[in-house]
Amino acid sequence: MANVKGFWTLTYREVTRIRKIVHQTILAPAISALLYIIVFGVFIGAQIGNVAGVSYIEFLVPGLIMMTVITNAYMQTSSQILLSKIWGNLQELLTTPLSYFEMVLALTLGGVVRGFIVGIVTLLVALLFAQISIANIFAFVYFIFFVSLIFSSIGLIVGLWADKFDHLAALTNFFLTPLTFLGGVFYSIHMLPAPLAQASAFNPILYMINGMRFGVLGISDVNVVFSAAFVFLVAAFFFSLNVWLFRRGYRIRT
Amino acid sequence: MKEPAISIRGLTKSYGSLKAVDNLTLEIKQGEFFGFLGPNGAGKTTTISIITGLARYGHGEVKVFGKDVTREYREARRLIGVAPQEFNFDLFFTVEETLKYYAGYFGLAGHEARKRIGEVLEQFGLLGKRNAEVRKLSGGMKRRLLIARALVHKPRLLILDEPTAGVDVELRRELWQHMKELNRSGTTILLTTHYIEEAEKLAKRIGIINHGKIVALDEKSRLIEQLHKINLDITLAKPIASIPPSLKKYHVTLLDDNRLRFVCGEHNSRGKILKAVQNAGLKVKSEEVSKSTLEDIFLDLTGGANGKR
Repeated sequence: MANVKGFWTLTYREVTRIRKIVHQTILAPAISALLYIIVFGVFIGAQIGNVAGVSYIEFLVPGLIMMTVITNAYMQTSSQILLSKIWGNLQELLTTPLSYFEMVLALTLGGVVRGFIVGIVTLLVALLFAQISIANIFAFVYFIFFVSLIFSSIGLIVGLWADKFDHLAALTNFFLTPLTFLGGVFYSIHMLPAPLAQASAFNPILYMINGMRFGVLGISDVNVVFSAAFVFLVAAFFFSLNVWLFRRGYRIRT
Repeated sequence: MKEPAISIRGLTKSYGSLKAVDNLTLEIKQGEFFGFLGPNGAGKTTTISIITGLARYGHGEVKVFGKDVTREYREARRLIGVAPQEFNFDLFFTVEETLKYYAGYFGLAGHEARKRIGEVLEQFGLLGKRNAEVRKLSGGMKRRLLIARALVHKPRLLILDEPTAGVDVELRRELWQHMKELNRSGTTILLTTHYIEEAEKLAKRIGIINHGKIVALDEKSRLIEQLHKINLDITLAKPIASIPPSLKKYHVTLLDDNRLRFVCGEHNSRGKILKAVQNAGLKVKSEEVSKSTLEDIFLDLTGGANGKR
């Protein structure tokens, strides 16, 4: 029998945490969105002209949204789990009658909620400088949901594995940031020489950014159905891996 | 027959080559107040961690009110309240939030939860601190909160791991009072402690664990009776080099070169011993009777404070 009240309590707790660190959850992404949009979108974008049939600032916005969603979903769960391990309150959670599935779902949903908040904040900041209307609201919601689910799941795994905050930053610095920058936030892969464009096809983040670009602008460098199926499968994989790790007690139980 | 509150059979848990718990079998009946004693690293906390789902185990079976702690972990955890040795709070939440969330995990919400939280806040003297962040509480207040949290969902089994460690005398007595009342109202209690006095005061049955094995398990009164054997210390007029062979059948040790300690029992009364000493040709200068305490037995069974065997 599902512990519905217990599940919602934990989900609510995670969302409360977002509210408690509002400078990190709303202000920080708003300022970084503002900087990117002014510097790249407004100043540099004026020199670039149209990309893929839209103005550069419009082209930039979906990539920025996805970049912020990825970073924040990852930070939400990874820092939360690591802190819980350090304080010991992960053990508090493990003595409760929540199933491992419920625990993982509630914790990752915290990351998903944060993903939606920062995604929308970034969009709102962009609206101050560019006229953007959401081309496909379903795709917009779908990609934020599954991409934040992927990265909050990855954040959970890294949080379980990590012993200190440096470990969390390592993944951001060595994987997330490079892959995001090379995943077409700032350019269309059609602007790249053929070998680099082909190499980009192996970057998973490319499909996420283009999925979001389809949601916001209705354009994509890659097949959007493929992107949608891809993020769904990756999310399912990492989510299930987490449930399995929790059940086994990886780095949680002695 | 009622299911035992805790039933552990053949439990073994190893950390590498070290056996923290070694083929342990233990049953605690419903409504019992069980004292679990042992030196540091004997396996007390490991056993508790296994019962509460915080540690995995290699072999054996652990059930709480008939629910297997691995296969039926959710049902088992619903019945347990645990106050661990170390504080494990989310430090940014307030006292009330801590209790509210914990109650929620157990399915308690709304009016019912508020009422219950009010009760435990009052019971543990935390009403004035309900809106204080946990990180700003004193050690004693955190200890109160730890136990209040363990009780918020009205568990049938309360597990207290060193609940009075680092607590002042006043609070210790207050906590003892709470434990007694809880047990009286039907809650099964498993208490681990270093303070032997605490186990003597509270527990009805005591188990002593050492090197992962139960070395003594009995009703407290019987254990203490056994422990409270009467020692007869005899000081001799002249020193002797060794215990005369005729005295060896008595439970005797040579304390100094002129002092012998006998343990009196059913078959060796004071009179008999004194007679035997005289028959051995020794002159008694003085005699003294002393009782051993639970602490002596504890040290005896666990090989002293260093854990030597």
